[in-house]
Amino acid sequence: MFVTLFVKEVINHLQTFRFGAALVTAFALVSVSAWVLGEDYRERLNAYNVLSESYAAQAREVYVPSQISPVIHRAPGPLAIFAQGSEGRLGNSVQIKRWEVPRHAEENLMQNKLLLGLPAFDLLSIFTIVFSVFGILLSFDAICGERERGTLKQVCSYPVPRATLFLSKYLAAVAVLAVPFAISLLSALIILLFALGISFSGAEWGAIALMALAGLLFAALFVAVGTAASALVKRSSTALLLGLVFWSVTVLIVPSLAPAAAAALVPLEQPQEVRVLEQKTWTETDSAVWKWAEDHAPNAGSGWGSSGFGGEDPWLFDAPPQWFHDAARFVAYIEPIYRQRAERIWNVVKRHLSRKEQQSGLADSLGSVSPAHLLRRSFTALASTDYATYADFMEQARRYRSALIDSLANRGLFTSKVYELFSRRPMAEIESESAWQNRRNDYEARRAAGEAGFAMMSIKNYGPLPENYAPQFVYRNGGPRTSDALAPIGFLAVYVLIILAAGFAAFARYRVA
Amino acid sequence: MFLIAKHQLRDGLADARFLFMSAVVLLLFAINGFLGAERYLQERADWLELGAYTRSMLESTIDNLQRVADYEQLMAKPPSALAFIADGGGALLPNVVNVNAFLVSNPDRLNRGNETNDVLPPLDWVFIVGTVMTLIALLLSFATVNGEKRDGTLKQVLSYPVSRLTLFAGKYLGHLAALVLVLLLGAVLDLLILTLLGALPGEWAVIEVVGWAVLLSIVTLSFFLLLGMGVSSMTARPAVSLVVLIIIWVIAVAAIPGIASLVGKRLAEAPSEFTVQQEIDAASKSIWDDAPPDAGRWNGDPRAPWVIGRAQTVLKMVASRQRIDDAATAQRIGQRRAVQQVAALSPTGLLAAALEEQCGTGIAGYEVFYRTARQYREQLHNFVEERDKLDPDSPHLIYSWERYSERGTYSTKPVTMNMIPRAEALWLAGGLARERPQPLMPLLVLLALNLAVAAVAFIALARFDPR
Repeated sequence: MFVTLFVKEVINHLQTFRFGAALVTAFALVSVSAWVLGEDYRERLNAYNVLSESYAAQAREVYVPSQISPVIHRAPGPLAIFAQGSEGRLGNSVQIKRWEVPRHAEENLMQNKLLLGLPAFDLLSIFTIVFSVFGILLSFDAICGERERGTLKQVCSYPVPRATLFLSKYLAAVAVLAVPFAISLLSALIILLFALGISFSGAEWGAIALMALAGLLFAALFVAVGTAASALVKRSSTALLLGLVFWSVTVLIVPSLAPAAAAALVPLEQPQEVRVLEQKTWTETDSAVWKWAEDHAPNAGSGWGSSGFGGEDPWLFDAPPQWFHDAARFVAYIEPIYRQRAERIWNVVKRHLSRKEQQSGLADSLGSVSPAHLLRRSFTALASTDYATYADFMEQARRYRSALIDSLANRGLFTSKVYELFSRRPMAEIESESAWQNRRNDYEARRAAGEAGFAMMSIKNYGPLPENYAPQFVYRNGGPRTSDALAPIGFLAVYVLIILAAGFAAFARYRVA
Repeated sequence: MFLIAKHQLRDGLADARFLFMSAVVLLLFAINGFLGAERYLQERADWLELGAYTRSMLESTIDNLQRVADYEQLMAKPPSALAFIADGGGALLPNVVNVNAFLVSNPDRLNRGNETNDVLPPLDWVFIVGTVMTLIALLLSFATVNGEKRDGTLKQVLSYPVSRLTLFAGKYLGHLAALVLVLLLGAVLDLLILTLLGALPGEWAVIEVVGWAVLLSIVTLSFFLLLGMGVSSMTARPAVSLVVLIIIWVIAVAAIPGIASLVGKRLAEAPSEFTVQQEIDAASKSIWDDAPPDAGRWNGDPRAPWVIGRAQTVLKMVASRQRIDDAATAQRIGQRRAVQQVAALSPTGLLAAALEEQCGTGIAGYEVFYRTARQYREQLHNFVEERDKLDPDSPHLIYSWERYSERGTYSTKPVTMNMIPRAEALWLAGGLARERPQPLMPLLVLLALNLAVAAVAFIALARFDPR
């Protein structure tokens, strides 16, 4: 009996205008979006490849250890097409500096800082709006519509339990809505795979399958809402209104309200605390350090110290060896001080950051009342564009920096062999007067001959550092965060069951005439 | 006509469902008031404190004009009291720059915005009116004509000795009156909350902007009303018109603004940070290569003969850097504006763009901020020049090398705090009362859209078969 009813309902639905409209709208919107998003992904991937090439070239131009400041980066993933999440908003590359703990990734790959603050646009947003709205539109008159048409009396007179009736209507609507869902998803995949040549790895296909499941559950939830609404009231227009109110509250309002509520409940600290502390710490440290320099390394000069490492730069040729010695001594002195300062500042930054994470965690929990938010959580986890993935990347960056500094320290570069930090010339050569004189003559000759780029020429005599001089960064990409996605998907399923139960309870008491 | 309108209005107001929807809207306006007030007051306190901090840091440099010129002040954009109307992505846009007498650089974000959150539409007026109330407008009007036909009352109404035009206008005015009533109530409630919490300055400019906001909102809502009535006259059953209207609504409110960001990026190019840095490095390198041979020399004597060449080279490099930065900024602003314009294809996007312009938020606000920062840099530089002229001991070579002025190349005499121009003065001079173009263009476009839809809707009604 169930199957007959189910098939009857499905056929009825397939003949309605709304089904056709849902099919066409979903297909059109998803296809257009998939195309635009896919093109955008390819552009970003190109930009990333160009950038990583230049980062690699930069790394090859490192001649002395003091110039080691690699940029580590991770590629944009194709699943960001499905859920943009933090991609493009939080950065993809970090420059490792000896005297600064990386606190946030640079938005280098993002073309334009001024495009921040625009709502994310991805297949998730299309699915969220289209399938929730059509879920309600397909089912809001399931029960009360039949009542208005007068056929409910008839149907209820069959020797069929009300549960079967209810379920057959519900599942038929879900099945019918699954058709545009499947077709639009397929169309998106076809466009991405064949028209745009984007490929997915095995784990990514698994993630897409789970996303499809989550999306279906989401659509099923709104069909449940519509069906339940239709079982609660007598007039279908009221049911529609009820459904739309639920929709606008959970899809439009709660997701925007949750962060605002979280911001009120977990207010962030003064934003300039970090900046102010940083500026103050830098000023304090700098004045103490330069005071030391005046007493112990008076010839250290203005180019040495924080960022300007002498070494092979031309002004060295104007300087007597004593200046070089002073500068090296100066740097050996400041290295531990600046490292400590970096840690101090990082502790303050970390506090601020963890508070921000607390706030967004609360916003997450508050927003979980909304199925749209649950869908977003599951999609971003599966696409590995959620905040947790970014936080993990930053942790890896910080650990790499520690490993890098330790490896340089293990070579004694910050103490006895500090000269090696700036120059790969043997110390004997630095100290012998004739070597200096020869270098200076050579430099003057090149200058007179009008040769450009004299600054780098002397370094070219020595070639770049070997590639394994310092540890290389390898990004351990965890792939789709399936475990993080299971919770929201589970919640969605429970949500569906609760609403169905409520709807069925209402239908069980429904006055048929 | 007005009888019909009054009748329609009373019907609407008596409808429990309409009252429920209005209650939701009023609640949203109230929430907007509370959250907007809290946010503005906090941001203003932060801004004042940052100003005080900058002032105290500046005070520590007044013993030496060179240090005053070098000190990179953190100049922050003051929060807009009108951000509750149109937020414009304020929490994530850059709002501070470093400014000294030589360079405006490093735009960054320093506010309580939380970048670890997802970016979602904020609950401002643009959202309440442009997203929620437009949906309500469609729900009010989707069954105006074909619903009455279904109920059988249309034949009756059309038999009255009133022209279809009067009928049309009457229904339209009735619906509009209901919406405007809710809008005005919500606006008043919102403004009341803001005023009571002390987040709304009592300036004429505020009233002007609010007036424009209400006017543009009414015109936007009217558009969706007419759209609903039109589709209602063109389809046989309300179920069909509802679906069609909701599809149009989804496209106008979600799809177009969403795709706008991706399309806008293609329409207007903007360089990445990396490209700009490369350009700056290349330009600096070529200037350095063409420099006089002694430009690299510095032995601490500001009067050495080669220092003049060095000063000129450095000035050229700084000028080229600022030029490249400004060009890049202009391109980035252009790109964001292109996104705004594509989003303005939808009435909601148009409303957002017009109101952001009025409230000084979003990209419009950022443009003003950047321009003011440049202005302030000019002021600082002029100040340094004038003080330097008064100093007979100075070699008068005003330049800075890698953000630090080389000692003694220009005046190192002390100054007093009240001689130094302050950025706050520039903001106070501008403020809310600054020159702001009236949003006539968006208003005209919206009115034109209204007329177009009204014409189509009326023609459809005129040809509607009531049988």
